Amino acid sequence: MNDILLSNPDFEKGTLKINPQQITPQPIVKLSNVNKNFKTKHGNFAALKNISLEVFPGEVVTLIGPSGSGKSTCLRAINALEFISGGQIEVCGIRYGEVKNSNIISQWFKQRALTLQIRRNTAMIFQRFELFPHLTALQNVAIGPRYVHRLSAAEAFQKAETLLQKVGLQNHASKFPRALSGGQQQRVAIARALAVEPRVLLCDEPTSALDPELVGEVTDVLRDIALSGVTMLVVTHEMSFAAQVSQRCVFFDAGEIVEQGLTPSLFANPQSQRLQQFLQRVGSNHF
Amino acid sequence: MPESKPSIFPTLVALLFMLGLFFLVVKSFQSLDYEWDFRFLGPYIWDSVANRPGIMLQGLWGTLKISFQSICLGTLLGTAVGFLLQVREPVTRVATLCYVDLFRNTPVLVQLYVMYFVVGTAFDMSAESAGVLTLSLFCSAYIADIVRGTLVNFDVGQRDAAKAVGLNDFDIARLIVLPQALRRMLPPLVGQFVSLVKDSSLVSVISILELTKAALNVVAVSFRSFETWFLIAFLYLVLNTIVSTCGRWLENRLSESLHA
Repeated sequence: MNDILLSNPDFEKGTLKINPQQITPQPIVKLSNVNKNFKTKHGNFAALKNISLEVFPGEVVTLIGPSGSGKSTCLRAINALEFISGGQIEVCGIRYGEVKNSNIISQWFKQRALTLQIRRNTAMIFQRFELFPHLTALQNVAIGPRYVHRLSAAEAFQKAETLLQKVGLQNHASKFPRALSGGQQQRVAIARALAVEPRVLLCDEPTSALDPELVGEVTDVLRDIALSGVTMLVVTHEMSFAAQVSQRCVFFDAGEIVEQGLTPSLFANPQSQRLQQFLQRVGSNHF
Repeated sequence: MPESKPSIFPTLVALLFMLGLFFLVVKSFQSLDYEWDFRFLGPYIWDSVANRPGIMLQGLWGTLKISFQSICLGTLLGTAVGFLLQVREPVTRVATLCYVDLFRNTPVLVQLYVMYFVVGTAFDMSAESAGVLTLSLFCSAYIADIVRGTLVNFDVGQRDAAKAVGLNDFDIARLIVLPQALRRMLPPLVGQFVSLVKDSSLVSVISILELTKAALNVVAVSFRSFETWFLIAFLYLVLNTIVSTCGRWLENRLSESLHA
């Protein structure tokens, strides 16, 4: 295990964060016994089965696993984009559980306010970027500060410019998403996510839709963010990226958490057979 | 391969087609034994004796007013019904579907008669309000389906992204959905508005003074139907060209992001 840790470039530079001070006992994201069923034509499909997971402030956690294993659903549930069928999720101290199928309007409003609060503490990066095509790059980034934090237009654009600069796109501010490459679009999406000053950044396969030669520019930006101490949950198929940025790694299969642990040790000696098979298939010689 | 020049073939076909049409019209009018005289329309357009607009201009004003009111009311109603069409709850669903089908699948003329002679009598409605109401309801049924179709096809991923940013529902509708949906709805919507302007001619049967009613009156007095109807057709053409040009201009402005 030590070999793996030592070969990690960030560890060599002393920038890899396995800082015990940061891993305080108070988790920022906590899932307890979360279940999620999708209703399909053929009955119920359990996307998440009894998921329990804790993420602490400043941690970078990657979720890996085969497609359809529930990683993305888990991430979407944390952001309240997906309602859960059982269990409880706590994000930044905001707790929400399953949605009772009641018609009580006040409860509906309460639930709505809760989800809005959760979403204002988190931000999400999507596989297919999902930029707003009718807005320029700058407007895309500024929409959060302007309408969520209620800054003035000038302040919001100022902030957006700073963030675009941070992702290296200051020269493309007035372009529409259509005129940008995939990597540039994803970097705008990252800037948009950072603009709301999230306490937790959720990344749903941020590099899967990119051409191989564009993956680097996005992972570079994400690594910088990870090193700056933002709590991140990253769903990824890039094992090398997972090894580079994350302290902890969680392996999903068929809606369950099969194995989790510190990234280097998890990759070096996987305990369960399923993880062994998975690592073999994706090729674990990435790191 | 370098960029190929556009083929000359379609141009030739189009020219030939237009020539044929031109020939047809000229030939028909030549063989028509009719003394054309548009001058008699003068007093009907502008009453120079009393120095006020003649019946034609009054009719034009009537058509403008009725169409404008019906378009506004119909769009509001149609948008509301379009949203209701998406509700999954069965009673609302069936009720809105019945509404849309009822107004789309029956003749406007019959709707007008019922509205004026049955509902209008019961509620003491003027001819004009009955006309506007019927046209609005009729128009709203079509608009509802346009709205529903656009919203159903709206990208779920973008809605998720907007939610993830933390925007509330009202802001998502206003800032994200509306600008994009509007652009997609605009062509069918403008088509609907144009056909509503033409359909407004039907309210002449409950004797509201608009273009068609004016024409009927003029023909009744002057017995010169060709000239009168041609003038009316020309006025409808001008009106609708304005509507569709505005629509195209707006569409261009809204699709700015697609040209970039």
